[in-house]
Amino acid sequence: MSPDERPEEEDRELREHLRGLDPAADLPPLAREDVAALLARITVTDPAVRDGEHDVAPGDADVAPGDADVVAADELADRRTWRETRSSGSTRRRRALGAVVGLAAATAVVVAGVSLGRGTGASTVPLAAGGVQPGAPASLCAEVDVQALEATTSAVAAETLAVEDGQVRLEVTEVFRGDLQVGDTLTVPQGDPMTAVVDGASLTYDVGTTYLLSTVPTAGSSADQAAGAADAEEQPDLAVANCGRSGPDGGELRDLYEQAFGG
Amino acid sequence: MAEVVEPVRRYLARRTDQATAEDVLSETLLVLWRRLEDVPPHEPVPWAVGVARLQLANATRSARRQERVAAKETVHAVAGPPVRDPAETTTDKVLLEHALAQLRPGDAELLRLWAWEDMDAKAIATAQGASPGTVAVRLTRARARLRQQLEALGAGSDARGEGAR
Repeated sequence: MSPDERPEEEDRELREHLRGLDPAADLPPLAREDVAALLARITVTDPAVRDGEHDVAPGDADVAPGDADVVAADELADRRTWRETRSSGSTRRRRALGAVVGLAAATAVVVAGVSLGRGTGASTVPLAAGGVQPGAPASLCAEVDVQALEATTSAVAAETLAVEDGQVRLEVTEVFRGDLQVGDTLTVPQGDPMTAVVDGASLTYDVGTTYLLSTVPTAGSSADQAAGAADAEEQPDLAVANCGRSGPDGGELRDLYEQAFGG
Repeated sequence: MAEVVEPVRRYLARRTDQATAEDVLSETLLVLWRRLEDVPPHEPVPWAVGVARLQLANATRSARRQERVAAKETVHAVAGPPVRDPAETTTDKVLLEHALAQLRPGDAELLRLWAWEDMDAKAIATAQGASPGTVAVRLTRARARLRQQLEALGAGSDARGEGAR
């Protein structure tokens, strides 16, 4: 008799034997009030209220049982992918950064994360990647001049340290304007190479390259702050100014920065 | 959601220490709460167990990262059933524990889900995010391998679940 042909009765018997090993066989059930309290605690304290964090669920990761490391790695990859997607989508719903100049400026902001925390020593400052997002109509940028740069809130030179998981990490090497300090770390979403040739597109960063970055307030940042700390934590206060006001260090852009900021 | 609490709690109690089980239970319920719309209405328990499985894997990874060696051993209990004092068990139970421990982890976990969580192949498939057909085949093979192990260990037909033959 093949294993496939075993009578159900034999399987039931084996199952009963295995149940004899159940380490939770003597575990008393939770009292009804304990279950209610547990559920109440979950639903009352959930800060995301079914709209926030990505959660893993069956089918999210196709991994062999018992392979915890692989499960965890896949889960992290899923979370990263999801966060990038979600950041773009949710922010697109919340706000749009106004056009610099011109027509059909569907400039969106890709949110990086936490609030600006200034204190002693170097800080990590998230920036939104100002610029046209994939699928959105292009901006029509005016020629960059000193006046355009003077409208920005901060301006720095920063070297790209790393690009990981769609996030760029830069270190400030020179400050032209604003509260940023040399040694601060900036994080900003990597631009999409597919839109790099589009007028007003977000910057794409290369590791080891120094960029001149100016920033503008993200649209609605004041309202965000008023909306509460939890929400404000998701939304950077600053976005990288696009349309030629930020870019690789050197040449005409360096000259403009020095003229505008008295470098 | 209350209906999944006890099954998930037991699933976790069978596989990790009490403190981790409580933490992971809370995290699992939080996930269910956030993803209520994704919970299959006809099989919420297997789906919840699947969430708990991934949350437990995450907790295991965190425990390793923090080098909580003592806790790590218990957190990783999914690799096998707890070792019992032979004096407290019958001979067949000891043999069964040993046989189960010698199976591949995937096979052993399938059998635990089948016996301890009282899941059929379809429910296990939901919990593991796999196809029911694949799980049914693997479950059949896992039972056969367990019987082979028991036979190799010298267990009688009763212990192999063959007393009914």
